[in-house]
Amino acid sequence: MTTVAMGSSETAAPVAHWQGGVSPFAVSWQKLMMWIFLVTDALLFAGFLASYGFVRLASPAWPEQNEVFPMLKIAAMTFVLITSSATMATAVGAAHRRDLKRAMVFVALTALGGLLFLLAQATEWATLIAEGARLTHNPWGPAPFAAFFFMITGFHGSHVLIGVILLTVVALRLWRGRATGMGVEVAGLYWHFVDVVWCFIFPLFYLL
Amino acid sequence: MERITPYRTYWLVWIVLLALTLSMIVAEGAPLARGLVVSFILLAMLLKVTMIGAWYMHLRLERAALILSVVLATFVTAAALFFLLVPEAISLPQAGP
Amino acid sequence: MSAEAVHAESFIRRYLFSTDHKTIGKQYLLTAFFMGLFAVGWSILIRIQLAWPHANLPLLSRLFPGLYQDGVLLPERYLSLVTMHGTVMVFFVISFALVSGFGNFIIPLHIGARDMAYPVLNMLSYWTAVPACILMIASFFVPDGAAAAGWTAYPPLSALPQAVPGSGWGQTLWLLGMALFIASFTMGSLNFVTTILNLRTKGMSMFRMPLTVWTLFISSVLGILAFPALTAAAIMLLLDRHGGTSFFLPSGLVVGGQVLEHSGGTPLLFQHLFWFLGHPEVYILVLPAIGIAFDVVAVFGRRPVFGYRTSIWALLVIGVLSMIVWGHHMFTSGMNPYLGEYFSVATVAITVPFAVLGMNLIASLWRAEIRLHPAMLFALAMIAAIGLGGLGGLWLGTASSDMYLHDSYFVVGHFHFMIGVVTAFGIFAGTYYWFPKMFGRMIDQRLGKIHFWATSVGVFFAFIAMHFLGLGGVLRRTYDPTAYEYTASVTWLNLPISIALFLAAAAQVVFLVNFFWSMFRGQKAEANPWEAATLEWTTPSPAPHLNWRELPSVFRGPYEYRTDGRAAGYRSQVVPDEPPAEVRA
Repeated sequence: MTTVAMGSSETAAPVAHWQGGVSPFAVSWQKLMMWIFLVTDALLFAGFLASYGFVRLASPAWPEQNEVFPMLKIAAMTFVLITSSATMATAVGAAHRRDLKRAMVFVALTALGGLLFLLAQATEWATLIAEGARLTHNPWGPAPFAAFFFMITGFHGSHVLIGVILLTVVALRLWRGRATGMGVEVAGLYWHFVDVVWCFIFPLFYLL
Repeated sequence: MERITPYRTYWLVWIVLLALTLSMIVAEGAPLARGLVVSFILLAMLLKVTMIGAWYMHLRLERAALILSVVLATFVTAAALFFLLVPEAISLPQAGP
Repeated sequence: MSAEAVHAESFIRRYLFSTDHKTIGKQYLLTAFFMGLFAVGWSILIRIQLAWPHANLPLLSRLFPGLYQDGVLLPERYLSLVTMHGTVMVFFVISFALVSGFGNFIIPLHIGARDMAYPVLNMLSYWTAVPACILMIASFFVPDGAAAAGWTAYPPLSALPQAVPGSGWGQTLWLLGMALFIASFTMGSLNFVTTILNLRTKGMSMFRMPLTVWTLFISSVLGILAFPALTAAAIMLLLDRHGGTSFFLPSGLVVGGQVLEHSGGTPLLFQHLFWFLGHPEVYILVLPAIGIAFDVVAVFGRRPVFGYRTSIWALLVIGVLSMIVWGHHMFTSGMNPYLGEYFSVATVAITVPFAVLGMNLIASLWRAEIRLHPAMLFALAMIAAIGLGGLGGLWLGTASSDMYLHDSYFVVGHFHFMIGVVTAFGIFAGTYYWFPKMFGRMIDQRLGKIHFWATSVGVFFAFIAMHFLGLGGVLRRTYDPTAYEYTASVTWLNLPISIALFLAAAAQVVFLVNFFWSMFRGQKAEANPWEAATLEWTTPSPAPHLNWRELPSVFRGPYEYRTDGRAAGYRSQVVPDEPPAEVRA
């Protein structure tokens, strides 16, 4: 019955309801798909972080992070990642202004920032491994601490790596004049997401 | 996206983000009540994420439907997962104080 | 692009690495049938063991030397069979056929799109699913056999390679196969959601979409939200197995007389993460089946769906609730009792929107002019299965009664109704309904009815009887049903259950013969053989590449059957409105 009523009322005023053909979100399918992908990817990290919270709450003790991590270096890594997000936003803004040259420069800068972050991450891992941290073993207390550290930062790092590759491709395409504003923006969404994930990992794992 | 964000805005946001990060690190070492420190850090974290989402990911310029779908879907799901795990974790026999 | 472009494409581009959503849908459907042969085959071996637990079976021993020894099924292989039957049925048969198969085939046709939003991603999704299937099948041929920790893969059985024979390579392949499946399913879901939101034709508002599309939409959203938790769990489980971590392993575990070095983790965490997906997964599978039932009931009952909008709201409420009730699978795990209380209440709350769906299906039959096509028969029987499964679910959702029934055959009977019978009948109803559009030929109705009656009698008898086995205390996954004397009063039921299920399995042979015979030899189908109102029937059968010469415009809802009292009359969604004066007259 509802259907019938709906059909006739809608046909009486055909523009009253949205008529299809475009998205209710008023975004292109590329952007929508990237957003939905980011939701699933965010929930993957949520799964890791929730597990980390679970195990940490269920553990009788947890290491003092200040004694484990060189806080200055972690802070510098965070700064680098945030700065790369700012350059990425600038690149997206330039792409929207059809200023492809500026967009290319800033995308390349962003990729450089990502590389710098990865480099710092790698040295951090090397230091901790040298001090005896393993997936199976943690010199500062409960074993899951090291396991979660390597898993979560490893997964975030792999996302950064994928982002760097993606941005390099985008920069090359911009150089050849083949990239679209949409392409830069979608790549930008991914890069900011990587930064957002770090915004959660940094306080939840390193600070608290 | 119809409106164009001025470049300056991105870099203003950048300054705020850096300041927030710095304040989190300072707060962690500050001689304050633990609960206060934790709440401040979590708040600053959420603020940072909101700023990146709103200005850098341009959610500010999108329709409310998209913002609500993306943000609510992610946060409600993650919160459901986490907060239904917490009572389990703290009732396990090996759990600490 | 024109329809003629098709002929320029090579065989490989057209049938193997096709980006056409219809071809990909059919590929998924046929892959599901192929995997179904395995899954049903394994269940036959399981039922033989349960019906004649002490028989010597030299023939089977000859056929499956890895599973049988001296005519007896090895107990550890029995666990592998149970595990793989569950896994393959849930993820590689039902999910493939209902969500990926019908989803790919029908979404663009239902909403008036030329293809999916991102056809290449769609093709990639299928070709990620194929290696997943190969890994699952291959796991039977590795040393120590396939995974044996149950389809839930609970640690420590699944986390310690030395725990049981199947925990070795079999479990690793299982995890890798699942990882590929999740990747494939996520790619598919991204496409479904984006397509449904962005690619609808002019006039196709959200509230004019057929309910099949709505259910597939909600299923895809649930998949997007729920699968990442399982991905996280699978990654951590792989690390536990091969990296030596102890995310899910507590200290003090003893295997083979040796204390393990693991410490600090808890298997409860895995159970939570698994069921965080596992429960929504049930709805991911059941909802599209119900959506198909709505479409079929409307077309073959010649009535508009009762409460179209309430059904959609019920579906949305089910979607939300399904994400927060997972704990009812874990009442006996030693979980926090307050949490158990919450999960119990939330679970029982979900019956309200579910009852709305069931009642709407039944009410759609009011004054219907029922055409008993096999598709309609399966849809009607599905309503009964929803009712029976739902009633059993009330017992299991309530923590106090679940304490007794947990891990018993009551559970087995219950979930075989919900994600066995309901979904299988959804697959059959959809296949019989859309067969003309898929292959351009009619499927034979007489064989279809034989298929329906044999299947229904078999599964309804068997799964109702399993509830009684469970009430009698028979535990699931028991290798030897005669092992416990206290269940002797009910275990005689195993033989009739097995015979009933053999009948149902034999009926699937009829189905497959009918399917392939009709595909090549069936009577040619017209564009709209069922006088249906939805968009897919406005294009020729089989639907051409890119679906329509000119995209149709939509003017009305999907279910306008006999709305003005004319016998068997219907108005297609593409029929423009008559002048208002005539409507009033």
